[in-house]
Amino acid sequence: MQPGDTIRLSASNNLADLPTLQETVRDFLERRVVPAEVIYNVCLAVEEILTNTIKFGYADALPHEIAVNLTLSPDEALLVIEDDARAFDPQTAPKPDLTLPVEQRPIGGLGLHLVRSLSSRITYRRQNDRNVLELRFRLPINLPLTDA
Amino acid sequence: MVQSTQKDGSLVFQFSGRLDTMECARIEGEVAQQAQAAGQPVVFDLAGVDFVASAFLRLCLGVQKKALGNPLTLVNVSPPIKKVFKIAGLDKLVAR
Repeated sequence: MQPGDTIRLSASNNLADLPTLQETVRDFLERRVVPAEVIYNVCLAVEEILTNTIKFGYADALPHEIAVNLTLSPDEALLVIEDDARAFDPQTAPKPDLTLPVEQRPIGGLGLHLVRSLSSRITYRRQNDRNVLELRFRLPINLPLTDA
Repeated sequence: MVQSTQKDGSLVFQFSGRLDTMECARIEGEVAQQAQAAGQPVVFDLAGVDFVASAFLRLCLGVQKKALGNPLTLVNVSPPIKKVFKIAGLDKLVAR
């Protein structure tokens, strides 16, 4: 892995784009010997954030682009997701009540809860009518410094 | 992908691949319908699954809510998926 290794991807606001995007993210991380747990967490964040944006972020039926950038440094994976959907900070979504019995649990709210729990830091800003979301995932300190 | 079989008085669904948003949308209607119609305990076997998204958690919740007292149990759950269920407060559905 070279320090500051970055991949820049984009998807349209179409759920059918997600599997291919996931495969590319997974391949990028596997080639750089990122631990399986971190790969899972990054892929889950991509899935949940983009699904949420695609399903709820747009008031029109027009095509929109969502940018997904992933940068690896020795101690973290930085996922930056940028879109022109309506303003939304995932950190403000209500937390699900996990104490309720399963039969009484509401169906929604789990995706963003998972993302908040599995990332080490989340930063959101609204910039030029765009959502810019940064999610950081800590890497173990003994990551090898060369490609596999 | 999913297949269902009868085993030891339970309806067993064997899932495989990645249970992401698209896949869950594709299978959840059929799974929920079969599970509700079965009137017996339901088992989700995740031996062939390496990824679940929150859509699968919602599928499980939906099945459990309509189970009319019959338990839903998940078996052969890999450690990262167990962790997802634990974070979601749904680890009670996962067999030890």
